[in-house]
Amino acid sequence: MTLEHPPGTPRPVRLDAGRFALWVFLATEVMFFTALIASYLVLRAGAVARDGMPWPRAQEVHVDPLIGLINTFVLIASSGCAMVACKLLASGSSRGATTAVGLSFVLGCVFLGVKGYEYRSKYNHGLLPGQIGELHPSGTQARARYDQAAGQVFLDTVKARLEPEIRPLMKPSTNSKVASESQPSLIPDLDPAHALCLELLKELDQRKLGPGAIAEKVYAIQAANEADRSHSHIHLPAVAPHGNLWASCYFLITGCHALHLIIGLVFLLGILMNGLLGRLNSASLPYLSNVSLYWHFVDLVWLVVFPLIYLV
Amino acid sequence: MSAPVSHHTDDHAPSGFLSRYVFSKDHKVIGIQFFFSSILFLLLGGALALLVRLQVGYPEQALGLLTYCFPFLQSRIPAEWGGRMSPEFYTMLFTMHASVMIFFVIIPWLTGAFGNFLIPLMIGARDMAFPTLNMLSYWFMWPAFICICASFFVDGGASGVGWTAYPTLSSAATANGDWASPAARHAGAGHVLWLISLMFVGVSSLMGSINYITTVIHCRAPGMSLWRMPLTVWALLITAILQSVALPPLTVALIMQLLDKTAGTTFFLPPGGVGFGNWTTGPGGGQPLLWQHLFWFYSHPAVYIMILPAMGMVSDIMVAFCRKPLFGYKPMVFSMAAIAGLGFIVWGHHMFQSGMDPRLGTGFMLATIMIALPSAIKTFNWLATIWGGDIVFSSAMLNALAFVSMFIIGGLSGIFMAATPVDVVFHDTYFIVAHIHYVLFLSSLFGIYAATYYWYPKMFGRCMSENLGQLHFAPTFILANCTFYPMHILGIGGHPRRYYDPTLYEFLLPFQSLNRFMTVSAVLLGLVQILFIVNVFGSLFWGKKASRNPWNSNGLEWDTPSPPPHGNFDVTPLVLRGPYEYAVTGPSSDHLTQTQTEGQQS
Amino acid sequence: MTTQQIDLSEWTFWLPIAFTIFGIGLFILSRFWTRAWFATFTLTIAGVTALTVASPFVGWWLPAQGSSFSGEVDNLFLLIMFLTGLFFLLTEGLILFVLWNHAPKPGTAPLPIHGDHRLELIWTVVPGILLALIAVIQMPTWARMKGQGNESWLSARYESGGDKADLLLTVQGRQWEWRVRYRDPSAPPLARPLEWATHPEASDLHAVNEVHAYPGAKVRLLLRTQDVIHSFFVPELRLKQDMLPGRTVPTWFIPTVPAGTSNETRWEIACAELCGGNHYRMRGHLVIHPDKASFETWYSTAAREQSRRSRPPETGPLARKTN
Repeated sequence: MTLEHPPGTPRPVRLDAGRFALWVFLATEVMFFTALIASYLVLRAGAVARDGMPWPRAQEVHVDPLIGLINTFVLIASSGCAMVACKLLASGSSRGATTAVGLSFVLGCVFLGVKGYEYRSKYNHGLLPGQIGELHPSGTQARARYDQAAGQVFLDTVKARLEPEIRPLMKPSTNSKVASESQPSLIPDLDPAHALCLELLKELDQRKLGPGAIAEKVYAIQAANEADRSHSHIHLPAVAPHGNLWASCYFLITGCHALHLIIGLVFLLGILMNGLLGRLNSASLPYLSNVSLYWHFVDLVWLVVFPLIYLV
Repeated sequence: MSAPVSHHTDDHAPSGFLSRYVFSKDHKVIGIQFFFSSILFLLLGGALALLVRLQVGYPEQALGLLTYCFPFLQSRIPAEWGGRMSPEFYTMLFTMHASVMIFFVIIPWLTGAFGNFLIPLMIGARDMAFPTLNMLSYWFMWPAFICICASFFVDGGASGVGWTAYPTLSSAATANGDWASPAARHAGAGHVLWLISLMFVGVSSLMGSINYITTVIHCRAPGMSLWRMPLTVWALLITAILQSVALPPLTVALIMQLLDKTAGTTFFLPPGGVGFGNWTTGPGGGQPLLWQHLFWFYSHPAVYIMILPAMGMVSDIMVAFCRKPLFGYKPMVFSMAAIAGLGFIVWGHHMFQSGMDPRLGTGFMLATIMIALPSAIKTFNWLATIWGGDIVFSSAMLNALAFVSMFIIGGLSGIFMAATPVDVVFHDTYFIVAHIHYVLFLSSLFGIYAATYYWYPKMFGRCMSENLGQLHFAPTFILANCTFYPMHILGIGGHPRRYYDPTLYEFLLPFQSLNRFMTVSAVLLGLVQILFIVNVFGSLFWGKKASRNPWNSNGLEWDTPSPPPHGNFDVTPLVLRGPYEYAVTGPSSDHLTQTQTEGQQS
Repeated sequence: MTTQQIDLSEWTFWLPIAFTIFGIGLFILSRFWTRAWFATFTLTIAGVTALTVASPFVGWWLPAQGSSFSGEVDNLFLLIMFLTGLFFLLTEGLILFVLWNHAPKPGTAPLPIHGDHRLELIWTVVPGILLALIAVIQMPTWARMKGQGNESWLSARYESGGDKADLLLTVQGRQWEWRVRYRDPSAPPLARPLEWATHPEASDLHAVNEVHAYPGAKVRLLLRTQDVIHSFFVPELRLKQDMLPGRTVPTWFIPTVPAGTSNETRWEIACAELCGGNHYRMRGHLVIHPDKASFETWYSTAAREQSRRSRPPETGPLARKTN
């Protein structure tokens, strides 16, 4: 503070108030992410322990650890640039600092862009909370309830996905709406995936199987697809054990992290603008180093989130 | 927040009306803004409480009584209620009563109003460390105010799932993403607003807390070492630390419930979802119990957030009115720190019957029993402080004495609930209602009253009326006991809380007369509070002009004019001692303020 | 208008008014008499003490004891009541003493005492010991109530192993009724009773809002809920347990009735966790038959009745809210 202390009365704390407050703020942020991650671990452990179904594997939920790893390095590099910017500004090079901040900003945007790409692929695969097919072990109460009610939405999705692709392959006798000229009796070179889907659509039409059983079939088809990547891909709705909980946690944690990232980017952009306008000087150093400290924190959070979401 | 702090630019008071009274960065104005908002919400929360009491006391006649007293309501009562309040409406009443009182009255009044007003004055600072952040912390309350008030008018009405908002009652949503809840009428859009509102309160409190901690650490006047700070500042510092650690997990929980409610996530929904007759939720997969853990991880410390500042203030008020030093200053500080620390590992005692592993219950029980010890130490220190004192029976002192004597009841009744087997009986009965009201009404609110009487001269430059204050105190003290003490008896008899009509149960019939007694007492208690409101607003205009130090107290805040000007102090004070030098032998004065040199004493 | 039904002459109405006037009177008195505030505090403290002491004599007290552990819980309650009561009287007494004396003797001034280590040590150690006593003494009761004590008929970890219960039943809560399902007592014991909670058998007996048992029966309750959290509460049993969506929460009790009871004992079951608008209407009954034989008679009659109807009842007597 600006109060003058008489000689002999040492100032209580060496950190300046802004830096101190930032540390306090980061402590609250640590609590925030601790609560998030702890909830994730509790939910995940609880789900796996409850019915013995494993947590979704990365490929089941279209998570690519390689993309995540690249993103991790992008963020570390961004964080490094922020650090370099501080060093450069401290040594008096405001142009260098501006470049470093710009680089840091761009890398942050790259991270966000990749994140957006990942979200898009989740969206395309229908990996959204509440819409994923659940694999409850048969005989459980959860399965019964899923079959009775909660899974009906999933059934409709399966049907909607299969209709345009598979319905035309059916015999005209089973579906009179489709023009008969496009209907060979049964395509001899129908690949196994399409054959399975055809089977599935028939079962759906007969309405004998509940959502739980259909989800199991879809899951099996996808597993077969995965094993044999040679044949054409059919867009089936996503099915994964604990899929909805997985999606809930995935979007919550990465979303909260992305939000923090965006806030950091706004601050970086402000500094970048100042730099481009030539207003970056040694007086801006405390501000830059505070923003950079926050940026390191966002990076650090990702270093915890990445292995938990992508690898474990 | 990272901008360098300087008050040189702020030294001149802003001149425009808006920048001076509305978007003010002056901690005193912000404190007063919090003060008046809290009073307004106290009226709302009080009115809701009276409606709750009316229904429980007179389940058949409540609505009739209401329309008899307020005939204009007649046309606004929905026809389908059929002459009685609807049970769903009743759930809304107690939910909103608790939410309003906790998040919009007690916490903002203690930490927002007094925290803001007192911290810089008491440590000899010109303002908070971050005046703009401080202003924001008040203006972030406004979205919360608007959301919570708007929630009364949306379709389905305000939240009615209890202030604890346990899933799946609160979070259940139909698969189509409709906000209307399959579980309860009052768990729809109103509850979504409730969740958003609480998030804003949380952000506001977090901003405040970071500011308080930084201010206390950085902005103390020369000579104001930590061990010379008044207990009020200690209490507010510890409270700020509590808030900054406990609030983020609540925010996480609120976000999770909001997403469950609106976006189809499944954090608090069990596998397979849950079904309500014709309605059903989407697929689940989560754990309803997780909400309780996250919620109580905040809300138990929140209990201390609501009592610690009052404890600090009451300590400072009592020494000024018994003209004796505080007994055991450091033990008091350490007790508060212990309460705060232990406060983080006792949340499970709200969940003994929740289906949590009973062995965890034992652990939480041990921690809970331990937390009784620092509370006991504080009580004994207060007793020793007033022992042999020269007591001045001012309004502030009377309320402070009521705080101590009632906190004893609230603290001791807590031990029953800490004992796990006994809690099996008392959990979710009126015994717990009695306990929280002894802590929050008869302790925190009496503490707030005491602090208001005590610091009002400093806030507004005029004293509150002593006659009116004491006239308010006597019936309030008696009636509050009439209203809340019999709840213990009800709880012992097993009376569950949140019951719309207890007369349905044979085992509760003998207790109904007590219920009526409490209701009549509560109505009278509510009426008596008008005296306080009149006193607060009337004294603004007609109160006796206050001198710098009307109570002959020692704290730094009494070194400034009443009310203090922008920038607080004429010269930066040099602190020479702690604030508790009373009962010193001097020629004409019995106390030494924190800045007085020995020779100055005259 | 139903306001006429309110009896204005009842003590519940005039007593609070009298107290208010009394309070105002004390305020007026305080203008002339320095000990009026002492009187205010004394009378209030005395009032709450008197209410506590008098309550048991006018029937405002713990419900009857109805389970094997209710006596234990009550004794614990009374012990805590005694200890906290002592502290209450001690501390409030000290406050009242200070208020009575309110000023030092003429010619003397308050003493500038900042603390006393010996005194502080005493009031830390003595409550500490008492609190430790309270903590330790309740642990066996808690363990027993939660099925982790020495009840040999309950498995130590209730998730696994076989129960040797006399009565095994599921109570499923839903808005707003208790749906009860008994396992045929003559059927062979189950290795994993928890699975039975979610897998009904044809021989199960279904009932709504009524739990039947007989004195001394080892009753194993498996609590479930269909929709929101409910809490199964029978005050006489000193039993309260939440039902969690998606989980089976086991609990138990052994009902006891006073010796020589020859009629059915009916206790009320209440829901103790807010479960929506009609939370207060979630009322059931626990029926304790006078002996095992009469319980068995009831059971076989009910089972016959059910097989005649061939379907479990769909809804209970309570009207369900329609959305």
